[in-house]
Amino acid sequence: MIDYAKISRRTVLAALAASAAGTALPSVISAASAGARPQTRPIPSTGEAMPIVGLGSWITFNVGNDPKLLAECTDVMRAFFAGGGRMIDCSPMYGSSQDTIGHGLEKLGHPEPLFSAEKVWTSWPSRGPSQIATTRSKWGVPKFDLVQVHNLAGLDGNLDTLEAMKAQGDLRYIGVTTSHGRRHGDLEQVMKSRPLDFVQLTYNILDREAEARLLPLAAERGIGVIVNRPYRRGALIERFKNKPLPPWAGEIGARSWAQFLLKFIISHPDITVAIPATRNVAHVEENLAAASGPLPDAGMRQRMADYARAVG
Amino acid sequence: MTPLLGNWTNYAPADFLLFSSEVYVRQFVLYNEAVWPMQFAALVAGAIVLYTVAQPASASGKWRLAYVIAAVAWAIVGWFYMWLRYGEINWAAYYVAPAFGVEAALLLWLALRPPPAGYSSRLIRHSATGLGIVALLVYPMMAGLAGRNWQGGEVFALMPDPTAILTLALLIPARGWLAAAARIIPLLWCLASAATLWVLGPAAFWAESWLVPALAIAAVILGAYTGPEAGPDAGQGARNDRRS
Repeated sequence: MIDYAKISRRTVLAALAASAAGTALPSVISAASAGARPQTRPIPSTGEAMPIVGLGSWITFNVGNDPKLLAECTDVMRAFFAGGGRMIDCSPMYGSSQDTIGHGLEKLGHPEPLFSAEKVWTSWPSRGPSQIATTRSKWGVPKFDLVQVHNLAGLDGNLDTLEAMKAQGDLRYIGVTTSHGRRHGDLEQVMKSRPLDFVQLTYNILDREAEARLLPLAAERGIGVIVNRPYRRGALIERFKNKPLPPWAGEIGARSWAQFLLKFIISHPDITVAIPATRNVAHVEENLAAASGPLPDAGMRQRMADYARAVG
Repeated sequence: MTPLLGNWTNYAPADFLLFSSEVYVRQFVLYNEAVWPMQFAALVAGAIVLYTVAQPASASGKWRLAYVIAAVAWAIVGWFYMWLRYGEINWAAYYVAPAFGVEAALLLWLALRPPPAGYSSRLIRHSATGLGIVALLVYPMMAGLAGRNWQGGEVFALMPDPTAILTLALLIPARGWLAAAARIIPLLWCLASAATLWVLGPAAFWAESWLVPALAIAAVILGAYTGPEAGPDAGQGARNDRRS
C-alpha cells in the first residue's frame, strides 16, 4: 500500500520526467540526431556520394488513389528528404507505388537530392523502353538515375536496352535485382559478365548468404550494392520486438531493434545503401538516424549476429 | 504481360501480395463511398435472386430474371470494382476482370435455356436459401462484426465475394454442362479470395478467410448432389411452368 506521507515533491517530479521521456522516445531517437546527416558511401563506379539509407516502396506505397494514404506517403518522402535521404527505389511490379511517388514528388516540388532508382520488369525486352517511358511519366522526371533489371527478368535483352540508354545519356547507372536470396548463382554470373553499376539483393542479420561470394565480388568488380528486405518486410522487427536489446547496443547508438538490425546491414563495408520501406514518418526518421550515428566494426557485427541468433 | 517469376516454387503466398491489409480494407470503404447509395439497389436486386433461390419451384420467368440479375451483377463487379478499383493496387485484377465478363455471359446463356426443375429435397433448398442469406444479408455486416470499418461492408452486385456466393447458391438446382461451367469462376474466385485474406492476416479477416471457401465448396457440393425428381421438392417447376 502506498504511504503517501513519504512521497516527496522530488519523487513526483522524477516520476513525471521518466514518464515523459518514455512517451517521447521516438522523438529522442531522431532528436539526438537532429541536424546530423546520414553517412554516405561512394557509388563505386563514379564516386558519387550516396547516403547509406534510402527508401523502398514495396507494398508501403501501393495505396491506389486513397487520399489519406497518399498524404501519408508524401509526408514520409518529405521527412526522408529533410533527413538527408536520396535514393527512392520502386518498380512497375509494385502496383500504384510509382504513381504514389510521382504524387509525392509533385507535392514536394521535385527535391533536388532525389536519386531515382527504378526497374524494368518484363520478360519481353522489346517492351522495356515503353515500360520505362511509362514509369518516367508516373514519376514526373525527365530521366532516371538508375534503372535495374527486376528479378533478372529478360536479363540480356533488358541489359542491352539499359546499356544503350546509358550510352545515350538517358540514365546514369544500370543494375540488376534479386530478392529473398533467390538466383544468387545467376546474379554472380551477370556480375562477372556485364558492366553493372549496382546489384540489389536481400541481406540482413539472418539472411547473410550474400556475404560469402556476392558482396566480395561486388567490391572486386566495383559494383554498388543496394540491400532490400532489411527487415524481411517487418518480420524481423516483429520477431525481436519482445526481446531485450543487448546492453552494449548503446555503444553503436542503437536505441531500437530497427536501428540495431539496420546498423548491422549498413555497417558492412561492401554495402552502398539499404532501402527499408515504410509509410510511417517516425520510422523513416528512425532509419535515417541509424545511418548518422556510430556503426559497428567487424567484431561488433559478429557480436550482433551471434546475439540475434541466440535470442531470435 | 507480366514476366515469368523464374523458379516460382521458391515463392511463398505472401510474396504475391502487393498491398497491406490497411490498403485492402480502405479500398472497400472508399468504393462504398463512391457508389453510395447504390448499395440499396444492389440489395433489392439480390433479394429478388434470394427469393428465387428460396422457392421450392419457381416459374421459369423468375429463374430467368434471377440469372439476368446475377449476370448484370458480375458485369458490374468486373468493371467497376475489379478493373477500376482493385486493379489500382493489384495488377492481377486486370487479368481476372475478363473472367467476370465470361461469367456474366454464361449466366445470360443460362437465362435463355430451360430453367431448373426445382430442388430434389427440402433440405437442399433450405441450405441454398441459407447460403443466399449469408451472401446477401450477413456478408455486408462482416466488416463491422470483425472489428473493421462498417463502411467497408461487401455487398452483392458491388463486390465479388458475396456476388460469387449468391451466384453459387442460385446455381445449386441447375443441371447440365452449362450450369457446371457457370460454377467454376465463382468457385475459383472464392478460393483465391480466401487465399488473399489468409495471407493478409487471418486475425483481421478471421471470419471471411474460412467462410468464403466453406460456403463456396458447400454450394458446389449441394449442386452435385441435387438430382432431378429425387425428393419432395422435385417436379414442381414443370407444373408451375405449365400454369404460368
